[in-house]
Amino acid sequence: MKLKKLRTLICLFLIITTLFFSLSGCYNSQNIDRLAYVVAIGFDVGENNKLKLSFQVSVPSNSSDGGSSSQSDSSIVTSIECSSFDSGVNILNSYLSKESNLAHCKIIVFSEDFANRGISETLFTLMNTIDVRPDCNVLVSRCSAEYFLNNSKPMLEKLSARYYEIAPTTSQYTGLTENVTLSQFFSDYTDTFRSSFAILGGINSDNTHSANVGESPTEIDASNKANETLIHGKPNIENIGLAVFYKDKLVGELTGLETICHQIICNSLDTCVINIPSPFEEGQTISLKLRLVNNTKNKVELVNGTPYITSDVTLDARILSMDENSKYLTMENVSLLEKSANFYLTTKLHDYLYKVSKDLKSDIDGFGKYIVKDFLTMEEWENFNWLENFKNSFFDVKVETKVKSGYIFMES
Amino acid sequence: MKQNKNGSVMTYFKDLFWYTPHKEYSFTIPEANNNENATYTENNNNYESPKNIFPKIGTNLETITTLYNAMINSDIIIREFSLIAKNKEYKAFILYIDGMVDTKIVNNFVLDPLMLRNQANTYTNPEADVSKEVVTNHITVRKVKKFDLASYILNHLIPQNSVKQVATFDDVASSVNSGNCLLFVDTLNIAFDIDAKGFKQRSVGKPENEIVIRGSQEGFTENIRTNTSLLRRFCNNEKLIIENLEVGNLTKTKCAICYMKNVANNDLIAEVKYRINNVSVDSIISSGQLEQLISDNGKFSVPQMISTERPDNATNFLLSGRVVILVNGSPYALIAPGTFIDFISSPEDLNLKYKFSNLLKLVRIFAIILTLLLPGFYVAITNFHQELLPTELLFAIVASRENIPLPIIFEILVMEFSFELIREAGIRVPSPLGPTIGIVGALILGQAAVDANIVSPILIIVVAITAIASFAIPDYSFSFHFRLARFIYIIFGYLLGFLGIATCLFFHLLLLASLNSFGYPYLQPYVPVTKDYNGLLLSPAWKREHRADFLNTKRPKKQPDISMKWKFPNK
Repeated sequence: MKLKKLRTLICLFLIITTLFFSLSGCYNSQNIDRLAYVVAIGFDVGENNKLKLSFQVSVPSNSSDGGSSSQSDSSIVTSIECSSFDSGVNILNSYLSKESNLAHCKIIVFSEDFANRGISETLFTLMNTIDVRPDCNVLVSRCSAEYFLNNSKPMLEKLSARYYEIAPTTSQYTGLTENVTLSQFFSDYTDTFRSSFAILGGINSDNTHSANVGESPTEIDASNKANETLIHGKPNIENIGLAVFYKDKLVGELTGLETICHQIICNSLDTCVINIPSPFEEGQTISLKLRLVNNTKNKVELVNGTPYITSDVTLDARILSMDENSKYLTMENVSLLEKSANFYLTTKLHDYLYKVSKDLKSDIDGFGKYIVKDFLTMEEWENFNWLENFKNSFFDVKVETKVKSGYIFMES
Repeated sequence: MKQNKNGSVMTYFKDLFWYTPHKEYSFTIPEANNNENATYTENNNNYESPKNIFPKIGTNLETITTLYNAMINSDIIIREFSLIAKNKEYKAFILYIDGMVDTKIVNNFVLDPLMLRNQANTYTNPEADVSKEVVTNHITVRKVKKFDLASYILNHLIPQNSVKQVATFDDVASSVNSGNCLLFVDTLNIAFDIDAKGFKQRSVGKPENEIVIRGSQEGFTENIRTNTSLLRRFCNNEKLIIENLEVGNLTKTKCAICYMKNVANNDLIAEVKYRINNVSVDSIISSGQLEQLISDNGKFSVPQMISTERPDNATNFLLSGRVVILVNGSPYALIAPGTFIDFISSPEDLNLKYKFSNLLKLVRIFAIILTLLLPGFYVAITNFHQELLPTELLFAIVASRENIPLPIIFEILVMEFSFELIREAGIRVPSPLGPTIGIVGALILGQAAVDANIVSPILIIVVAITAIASFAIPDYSFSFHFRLARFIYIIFGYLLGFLGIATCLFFHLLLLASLNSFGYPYLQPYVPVTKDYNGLLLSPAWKREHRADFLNTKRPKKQPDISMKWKFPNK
């Protein structure tokens, strides 16, 4: 009896041990001490090889002084010329003392050059790499990716990983760019009714300011792209605008204002601030804080085989700028202001829409999904080739802005 | 054949590692002692003690002297004297244990009325003894009543409230051992069992380990009668039955089984009685020992009976249809059956508004999860699943482990073990030093270990949170179970990551679900699901209409649907 019990126990022990070691086991344990955490990956065109990969590896260190320990972060950027992404990671592993881990990568940076040549292969490789998270950001840098990583020095944060994570979220209240993740980029790319876009970034330093400061005073602030704004400070990354792709190639860039237009059309705008020309005084501007009241209603029809696209935009505007003799406090003036805002925004939206359709030929607003329902089969839709036809589109945009201000309430 | 082969292998290993006593002996034992069928009995020596009390006092005295080893036992007092009854003298002696009787009672109410001449013992009225008188031929024939010494002593000479007559030496022994004074009188084959208990005992004090803020501040004591009286006072109902049983072949410890006759399920009462009656051990000193002997599953470390030192808590359980077991000498009552939910509840819960109680219950569930899983999770995440951590936290952990030479598993086992060490030492050290050990151990040792780069500060936090969480579990032995189980979770977390922890959890739940407490499933009312209103969360006081469904009580309802009649007088 005792023997039988013992035998059962031994059998059970053997089964459990075998199962444990075969199912998962200690052998694939990855101790956190043995890993090097990559927080950013940069892609450049290689000088000697196909690809120049840059990895920003975080070096967490603990400096304790007088009982309180503060955590600081220094990171190293390593650039590797290689033929493919995976071989690059391999070389990095042999270069570093620890195994590299991409699970905490926050941003993927493509240089303009690299993006111009097409990133399809890289994109599929990245999606296929289990380590890389689908929610890391995709950015196209106006400088080389290596330079971008080397010069992105967080000013307010101690950890560059957190910095990379927070920086794109500023779009929620500026509207000057959009928080584009790898999974979004990838699905846009693989969809047949839209094109993909990425964050446009660059390193802003005093010597990168371009000379072509906006033509009219209304456009100074928002009409810039990344690394064009007149900021005087330490070199720092600046995300303004979007990089527009057609299929897997970079075809153009959007300014901050165009990005706002894009978000208005796509319903992804939270709030933003724009300057419109003052209807009361020549050469003056009025700042408005915009918010979408209702979702923008887009409608796409095929007229003689050509897409005819209408958009109804309803916006809520709050007057931000005020001066002593504000003339826009009466109802008449407010309606004048509304007209002016409507006119300004309609023009800008038209400009934007024709830019993406005629110049860039890239449907980043996803108008295709409004028309796809008119096609009975997938084959029919694919034969129609929406992305090719999009360039012939006609646009009709109606903007309705309601201006609000605390002062209006007081005066009326 | 195979069996034989295995058998021989086993024998080989047994010979190698285990001690097997020799079965063949080369010497002989005298016939008289070679009693092969000698099972364990109380009187396994040659001397067979007499059962009944003899009428001859000299024999009784000898027997008692032998029984109690009175020549060498210093506290056995045998006081011989002459008893006067109806002006006649009888030889007598009293027997008691020094320290257990109240000497004033013995002097004033036993020895005084028996020895000193007074009206009671010198009174003789020959006429009163005549039962019948017949006069024939001028000869008067009187039939005199037979003088019954025993009833005379009982009725006239011992002014005591509790006096019994016992006839056997077994009864004599059990009475004397419990602190009574025994009176033997010549010519009587009985002895008088006089209740003269007067030993020192602790008075009813505050409960030490189950502290509540708004409940009663009385706790059980070591004396079973005090405890039953406490229950009576709280329960205040004549349907409360307190049955006495004796456990322990040598100690004959008194146990009381208490239940509400009109509430508790008969099968439960019978089961409890059956188990306690069929415990055969030499001694029971505390309720903890009895608990282990009557629990359904003694191997699994989770407690299956509730133990409480609070009479109000015990009464609440009594009124909900459970059985309370009191053991003489132990200030903890046992309550059967105990289910998982009961161990999460605290006596305070019923005194608070249900929202507070429910919040506290959820906090305790959280504490259980932390105690059980936090160290295992830490090991699993740092070894297998680092991608689960937010990047900043991961970097904080990596940075804190920068200079640590030990692997995480070793680090955490060392720290958890040190913590158990500190806790154990804190209990053992003399009480003025107790808190010091905690401070020295936890603060200084922890800080020094961090400064010396032996453990990382994050790990100290993990161990400290685990420790604090384990103290938040109300029941001591219940928290012990989780403290023990967490080591298994640490090891499996290290071997297999979350898969290991999930496997562990699965088996843990399986074991808990298979467990019974006095025939009631341990995870009631969730496994199996019953129509129950007494789950984890308390309903408001006016909605607690039903007793727990699984207990099958005789009174399923506690209160009518409308209990606040002042508010809804018409319903």
